[in-house]
Amino acid sequence: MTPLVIGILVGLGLLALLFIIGVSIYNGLVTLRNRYENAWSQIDVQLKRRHDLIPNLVETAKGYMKHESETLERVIKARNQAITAQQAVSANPSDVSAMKQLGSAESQLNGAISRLLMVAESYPDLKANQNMLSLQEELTSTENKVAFSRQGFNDSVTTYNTAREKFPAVLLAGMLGFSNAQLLEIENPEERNAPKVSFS
Amino acid sequence: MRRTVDFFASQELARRNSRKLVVLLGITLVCLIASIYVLVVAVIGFASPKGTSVPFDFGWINWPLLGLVGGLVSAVVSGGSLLKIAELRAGGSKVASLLGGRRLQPGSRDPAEQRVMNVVEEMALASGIPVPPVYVLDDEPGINAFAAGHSIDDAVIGVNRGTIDQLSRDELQGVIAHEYSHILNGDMRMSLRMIGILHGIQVIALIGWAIIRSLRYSSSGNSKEKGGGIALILAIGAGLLVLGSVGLFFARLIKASVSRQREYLADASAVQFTRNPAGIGDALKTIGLSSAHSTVKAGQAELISHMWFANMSGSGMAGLLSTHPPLVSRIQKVEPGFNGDFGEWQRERSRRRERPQEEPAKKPLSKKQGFGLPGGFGDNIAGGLPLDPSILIAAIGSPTDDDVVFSQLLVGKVPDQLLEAVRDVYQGCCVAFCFLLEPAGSPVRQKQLDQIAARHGVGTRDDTLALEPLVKSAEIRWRLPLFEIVQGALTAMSREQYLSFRETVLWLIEVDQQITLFEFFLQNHLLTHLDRHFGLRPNERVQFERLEQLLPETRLLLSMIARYSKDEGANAAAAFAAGVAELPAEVRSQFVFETGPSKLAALNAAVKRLALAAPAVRKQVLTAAATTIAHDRQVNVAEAELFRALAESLDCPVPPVIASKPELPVA
Repeated sequence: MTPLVIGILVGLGLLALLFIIGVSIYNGLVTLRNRYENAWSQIDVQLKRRHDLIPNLVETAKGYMKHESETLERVIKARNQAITAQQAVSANPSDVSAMKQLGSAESQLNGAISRLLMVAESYPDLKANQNMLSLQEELTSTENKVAFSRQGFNDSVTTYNTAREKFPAVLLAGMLGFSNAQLLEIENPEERNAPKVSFS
Repeated sequence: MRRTVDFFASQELARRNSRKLVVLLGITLVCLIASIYVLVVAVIGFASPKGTSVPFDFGWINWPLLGLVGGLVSAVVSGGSLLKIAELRAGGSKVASLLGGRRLQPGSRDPAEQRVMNVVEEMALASGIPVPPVYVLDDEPGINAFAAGHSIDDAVIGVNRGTIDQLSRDELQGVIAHEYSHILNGDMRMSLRMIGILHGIQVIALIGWAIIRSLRYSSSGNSKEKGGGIALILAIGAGLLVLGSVGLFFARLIKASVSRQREYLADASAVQFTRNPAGIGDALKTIGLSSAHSTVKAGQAELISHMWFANMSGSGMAGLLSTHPPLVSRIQKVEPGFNGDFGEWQRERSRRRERPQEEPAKKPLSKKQGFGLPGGFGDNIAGGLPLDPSILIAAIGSPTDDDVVFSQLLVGKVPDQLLEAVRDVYQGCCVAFCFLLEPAGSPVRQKQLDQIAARHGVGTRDDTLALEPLVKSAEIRWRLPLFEIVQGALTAMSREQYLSFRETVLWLIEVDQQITLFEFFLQNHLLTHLDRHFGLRPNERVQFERLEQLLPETRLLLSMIARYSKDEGANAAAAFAAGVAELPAEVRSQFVFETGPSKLAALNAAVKRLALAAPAVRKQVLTAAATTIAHDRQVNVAEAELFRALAESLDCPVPPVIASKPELPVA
């Protein structure tokens, strides 16, 4: 057996090994990317739900809060911006700037809602309104769901980003079009209305 | 309805098939090595300059070279196989994600998506298994579906967009029932192993292809003296491509022949599950009509070609390589009158389509009208229904349309708020906590609540408390089904979230003191199911082939059942004796009724070991358990649900055969 033959055969074996590893890395990244995109659709459902509650909330509050139209308008405006941002992310959950935009839009919406609820404190009739109470209740439970699914999403984004930056995947990731994904970060100004759901 | 499938026999068959398959594929591998060896010998023979000594003797095998070739080929094939198997280790959800599936979320606004989730849920409750996640492949207009995973616990259902858009509810039910048959009959585990080996062989062909491609690019600035070497490498590349493809051809041939048999079986089971041959028959006919047929385009879909509902490469293909039997013959098996004329079906279908299609949440039920589930639970009515325990055993893994109808009814009766909660992943966690909370007044309860608040926040504790009255008001025949829905919903957690949830659950179980045997099995199964789904538990293989290896475990199980389900004392001893009488005569002498303090921790370990027994052994154990539970030949719902919970822990799903009898007292 000549050394040439051994060389060729071993070379082929190595080639095969590299090839298999490459394919495996690619498939792994595809799987993880699909995972976080799936986790996104989980938040998507909850955010939609939350956005749908807000017009009712504003409508109910309007009857009592005659002189607070600015506060109410701010809520509606923040909601509309959040919806636009949400649609942009839904179109492409890998879009970093869209995700950042959504985070800040949702933070603003949180701020606007909590201001509304704070102002509502000074209207005893509104506070006692049955409709208002159940809306507030639903808003809180939806917020808990948003928080939980957001955490799940951020977990899977982190898993993906970590896998992407590991050696040897990092050598291939950029070439194959796997870019870094963005976490969804939402600030919540008021702890009272949004209990922490720290599943970590 | 006659049951077409014996669960245990089917599991055994799947295991045997699986072994046979590995042997056949092993033979394919040996042939592949032999032919690659011949290729290498030939190439070297041609390449050796005249006059130099040819390094081998053609009359005799050159062992070192054969060893080298054999080692390299085996390494490549097994490397490819193992990597693929490792890739799919996390099971069904990974396969679905790899194909680009989008997981459907509860509360989806698309009625077609909601409908497929409802159908999947009903069928899961009817089979007595946790509701599997549903994935949709949005870019696939062809009518097709698949089930993937190693076991019931990591199974997922995937459907093409074409399936949910083009099929009626009955047709969809037929397709989903077909997929459930694959889940229940153990076809999926076999599938994954097959995928691995096929992938390994495919790598050989891919290398050949890669060599030829790379030479084409590098051949431009080519000098003459390099020509010989290039030709040599080209010959090897072409040879590998051809041999790899031939090997793949034979491997696919084997895969296809096994797969075709299982498809007929799954079609027959689908008819049994729905008692509606027209459902699956019409679905198949619609595939025949549709312009996209059952085509699947996704790049990775070929890997699981045998896991689809219908041929993924179109409709008409027949022959040895086809993973599915021809459409017409499948239709004729379920609807013997069909003459192969799809045009007639087209006319009938368009006639039907003129009538508006509504989503019947509950089918009209003539024979079960007036069926009411009494409110509250714990009504202490003595007695039960006369029942031969063998009915319970025969029903395992083999739901009928009665069970499907019951599940539809049940889902209809659950209060909306509770239904929404058990389907949601976050509230599902809260519901699971509710199941574990001690009743009010218990000293442990406050500790449990504090623990939930400390670990997951005050909001989670409050949400748990808010759901508790609803969860606890659920009647006993709802409990297992509700649990199955929760188990499905919880698979949507991230791995990190699950680890944290798991720790809390273990803590809550630890302090729980007043646990019933039924609750014990529920808790046991909750974590087993989720551990498998999240890949925390290695894929268990059968470890015990004989009952003799599991005598202490069986003894403990039967004793505990006898004591929990009957009053203490003579009655319990008699129930235990009745169960033991079902076991083979040689081992009976070893069975002494165990009294004394209850040993739930020991039972936990025993159940884990029993779950690793061969199907035939589990059948023996479950038969004895069913006889113990029903030893007075009377069974009430609580006893039947206890049996279902136990069987589920042993991976033998039982449909709600008893719970669906409205005339039965509850407890």
